[in-house]
Amino acid sequence: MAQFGIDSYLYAKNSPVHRMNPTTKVVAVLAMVISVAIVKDIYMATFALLLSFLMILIAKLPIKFVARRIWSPFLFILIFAAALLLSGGEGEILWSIGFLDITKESAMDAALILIRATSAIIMLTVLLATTRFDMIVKVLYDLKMPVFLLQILMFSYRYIFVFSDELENMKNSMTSKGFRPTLSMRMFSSIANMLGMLLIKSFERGDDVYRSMVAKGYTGKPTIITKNKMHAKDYAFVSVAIVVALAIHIPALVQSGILNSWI
Amino acid sequence: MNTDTLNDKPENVDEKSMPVLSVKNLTYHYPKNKLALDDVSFDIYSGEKVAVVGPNGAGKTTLFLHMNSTIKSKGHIFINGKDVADMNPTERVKEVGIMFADPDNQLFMPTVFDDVAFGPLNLGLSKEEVEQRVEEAIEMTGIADLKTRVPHHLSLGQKKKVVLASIISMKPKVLILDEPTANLDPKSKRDVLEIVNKLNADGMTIIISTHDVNLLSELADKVFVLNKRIIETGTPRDIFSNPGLLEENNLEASDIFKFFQLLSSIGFDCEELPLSFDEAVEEILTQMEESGGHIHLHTHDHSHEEMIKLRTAFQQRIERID
Ligand SMILES: Nc1ncnc2c1ncn2[C@@H]1O[C@H](COP(=O)(O)OP(=O)(O)OP(=O)(O)O)[C@@H](O)[C@H]1O
Ligand SMILES: [Mg+2]
Repeated sequence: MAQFGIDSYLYAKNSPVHRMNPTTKVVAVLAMVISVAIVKDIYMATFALLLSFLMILIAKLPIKFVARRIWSPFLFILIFAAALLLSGGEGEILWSIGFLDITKESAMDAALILIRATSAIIMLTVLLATTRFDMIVKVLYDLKMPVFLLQILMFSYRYIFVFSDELENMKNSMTSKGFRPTLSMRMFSSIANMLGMLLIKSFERGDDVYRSMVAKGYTGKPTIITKNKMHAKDYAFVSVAIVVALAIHIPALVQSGILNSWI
Repeated sequence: MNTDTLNDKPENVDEKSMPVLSVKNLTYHYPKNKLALDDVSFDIYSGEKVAVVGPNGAGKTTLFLHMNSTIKSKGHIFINGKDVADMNPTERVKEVGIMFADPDNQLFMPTVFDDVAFGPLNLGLSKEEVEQRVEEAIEMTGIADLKTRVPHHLSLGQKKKVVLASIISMKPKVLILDEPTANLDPKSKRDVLEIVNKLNADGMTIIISTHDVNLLSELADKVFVLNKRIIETGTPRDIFSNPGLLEENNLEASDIFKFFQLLSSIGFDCEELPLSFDEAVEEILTQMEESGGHIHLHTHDHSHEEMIKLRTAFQQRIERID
């Protein structure tokens, strides 16, 4: 069976984060992620990044595991930040590389983006790695996320495994028939064939799944039972998380002078 | 056909009343393909346990796809006298539940619990009722330990049981199973057999397609041989006792039945050849009791000839299947 890392760390570890009520966890993390994503103050962003490291520690997730998870989005952000850095713009010039000027403003912007995005990704990674996917779906359902979006989410999660197994099977059957990847037209046409087959198979599967849903009386209405009781300490935790998420923006608000009229 | 044995039904079968499911003159071909079903008609009565057998490509799955109107055909499939094509989905699932061969297509929710709860929720039942139905179905199929598992990490046998639970939880009057024992290990086959028999004893009407001739007599009281058309109807014994029919339809008698055919060519004398292991044990014990603890076998004039005849008959059939 193909090993998709999506839920590979779910059952492995036990930590306060693993044990936390899923609704509490999802709401707290989402509040933090949204807050971090729009924070303007670089010190506050750094604080959030440290917070996300703390989350990794409390969740007892191995650093290597987290690194492997965030590696590809991180690379993407890095490229984005680099582009921002080199785009120059007005301001105090720090370095000049040939005709490229790197200004203090663009350096700050790039750093801010990098820190913001990294901490948001780490937080989401901790959430996904410590919460069963079905619980996340149920929490989102309780939070009144549109049913059709949830169903897309659910089915993607379910069938990505079936799909990857199918891909694996095809690959195996091709290798067992003597197929060796070489750089030739034949290889490209074989791979194209394989992808074509996969596409047709997934269409057919989509049909079959829909049929079997209808055969179980599916009418498009919600089809999930949730029973996720929050206790006083959960509400307390969520409140704290929201306060922190809001507090992160206080310095920026002070700076912009909006708060002056209040204080 | 031996009508004596056909009338020998469990008490809960009520043939005098209206059939619970009736197929009337169903003909079907897939677009651009040759005929898959040719004028198929039969009736199934409440409480019956029926098998549909026939070679690969005989149209069994196609027939089942009609029974819940997955393939639409007005005026051919009736449940309790009502055309399935005229029922709305909610009405239909209360009448008929179908388990198809590929469990992956039938498990699409995040956990086993959610999959089993899916049907009852669609019926619009209250949360408590849904949970109770899930509990019942899960207990019936013996999958309590899988309740919170995600479907994609289950084995095939476990997946099949979950699909079964997800259909039982809707409490359909007619349960249709397309090759429920295919690719299962011996223990899982037994489990499925037991579940099916328990459901049938509770009054559910059951229709099964299978290639498992060794389980046939335990899976069904009545057998339809389908090969595009309905070729024959009878008890498993009727079917097994008809070599021409078996050969023409890529079928075989059960191993026990064949073995006792062999024994009867060397003097083992019994009124009805046993079909299953249980029947064989019973037959042997009765015979031993009657003849003072012995079973007497002996060759007679035609023994050799008969054995060779049986062997060629079986081998031919095996070659055909290969
Ligand atoms: N989706 C389809 N499109 C075209 N032809 C099909 C389709 N499904 C089945 N057939 C054809 O219809 C005929 C009956 O197939 P069906 O699957 O009903 O047989 P079956 O009795 O279930 O066989 P098996 O024992 O192998 O499961 C076959 O000739 C098959 O090739
Ligand atoms: Mg079939």
